[in-house]
Amino acid sequence: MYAIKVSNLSKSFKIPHHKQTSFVEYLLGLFKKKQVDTLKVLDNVSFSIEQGETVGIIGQNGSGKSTLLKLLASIYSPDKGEIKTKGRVVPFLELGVGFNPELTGRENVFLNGIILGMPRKYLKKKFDEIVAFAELERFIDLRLKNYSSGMQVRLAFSIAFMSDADIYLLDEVFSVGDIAFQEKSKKIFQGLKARKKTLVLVSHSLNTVREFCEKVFLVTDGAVKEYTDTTEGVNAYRKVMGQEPLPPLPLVPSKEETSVM
Amino acid sequence: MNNYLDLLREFFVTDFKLRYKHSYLGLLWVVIKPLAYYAVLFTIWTSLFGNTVNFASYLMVGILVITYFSEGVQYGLQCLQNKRHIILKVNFSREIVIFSTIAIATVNYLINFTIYGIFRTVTHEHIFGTNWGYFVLGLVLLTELLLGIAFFISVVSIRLTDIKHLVELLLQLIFWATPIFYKIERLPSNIAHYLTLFNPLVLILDIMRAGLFNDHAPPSVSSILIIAMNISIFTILGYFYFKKSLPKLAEYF
Repeated sequence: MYAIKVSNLSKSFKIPHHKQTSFVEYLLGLFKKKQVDTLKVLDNVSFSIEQGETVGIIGQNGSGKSTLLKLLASIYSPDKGEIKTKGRVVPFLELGVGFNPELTGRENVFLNGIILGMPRKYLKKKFDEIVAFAELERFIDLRLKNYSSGMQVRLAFSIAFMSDADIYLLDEVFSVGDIAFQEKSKKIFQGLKARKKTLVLVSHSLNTVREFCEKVFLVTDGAVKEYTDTTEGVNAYRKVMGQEPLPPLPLVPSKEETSVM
Repeated sequence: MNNYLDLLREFFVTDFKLRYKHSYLGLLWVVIKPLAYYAVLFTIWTSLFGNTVNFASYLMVGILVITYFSEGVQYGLQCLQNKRHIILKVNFSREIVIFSTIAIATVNYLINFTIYGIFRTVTHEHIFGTNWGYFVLGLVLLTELLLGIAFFISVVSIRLTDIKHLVELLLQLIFWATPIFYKIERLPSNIAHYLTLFNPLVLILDIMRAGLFNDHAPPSVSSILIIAMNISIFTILGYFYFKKSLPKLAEYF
């Protein structure tokens, strides 16, 4: 049973040489030949993701990873093709969407949680759990602007993973907080995996991808290549970037290789 | 659906709170501003023109309505831009932004009206006239009109930044084309006719005044029906335009 099924998906962006934003420019533009480049980001892409699978999307900056994720989250609409999803999709394209620095941590929990699609009642019930997970009990009534950036992402992360969805779309939301917090968040991911949730994550951390994912999608030149062997996928990407392949998984790669970009 | 209303409430409460977040007097400003404004207006009008409390009151109704209208239009113009960072990251029902934005303008109007109502009781008028239903009807029509306008201009303003200046200009024209300081009967009849035809605020204000002043005759039933129908059609069209064009617009932000 699939969770996400994408067939013949194409998406391109128009890049006008001169952006018309005023009426005069628009009028002048009528008499000129339009100079518009189209940038084909995804070209006739098809794939499917099974329920309970964890898929890593990798590729160069600007290759279309985030566009793909935004299409899956129905923020962008496809030019051609179809995207079918089964179950509730929650996009975490950024942690702390709608966070307002002038509001307190408490107010932001509700603001962000509701924006992510959780009902207020549900958040009230889960509130203490969220705060405890973020380790912010003492600071929850402080304004967000007085939080350190680490505290902010911890709070954002805790809210995000309280939501009950079937499909999670994650854009670089790993490696948040200090080591202790990272260990905690890893447990959350493993919990989601154990509960057969479908996870799609965009990441530049190749080790994360190898550690968590069953499949790798490499996005290059408008195409999406699927690798069921994650090490093979990761190495294909490293080859594109002109880098040496990584050793097989059991050997933990050295530290600097975690930051390829 | 549960979350729909929660989100509406959340946007409304947050935006309302944030407007006065930094000030010492906080929410008191909501009351102080109109209070001071009306106090000045009343004093000037009654001392300049003698005992014309009635006309000052008549004037005030118009000012309140035009303030509501321009605030609603201006908020509506910017509301999608202001929520850009959320729209680009989460797929929620976008019309919630429009509803919460116009709700803020409406609540502002109701607060202003309450203060005006206090002035009315001080000057020994009743807060509403005997035909107060007209006032409610006018308010509903005006709010509906604002929603329709917001559906259109919020989308257009994403691609055409200059609409902001055009709207400013139009709002000024509408201010003078609406009988706030004058009575429409004083105008030459053909001009009055065209104003009524092209400026919905003329009739709306007429309807609302009929609900507040017993000596103000309401417009004919047929003209009320026609404007109610026109506004409804306009707003429904706006809604469909909004729903249809918005999915394509995320990438233009």
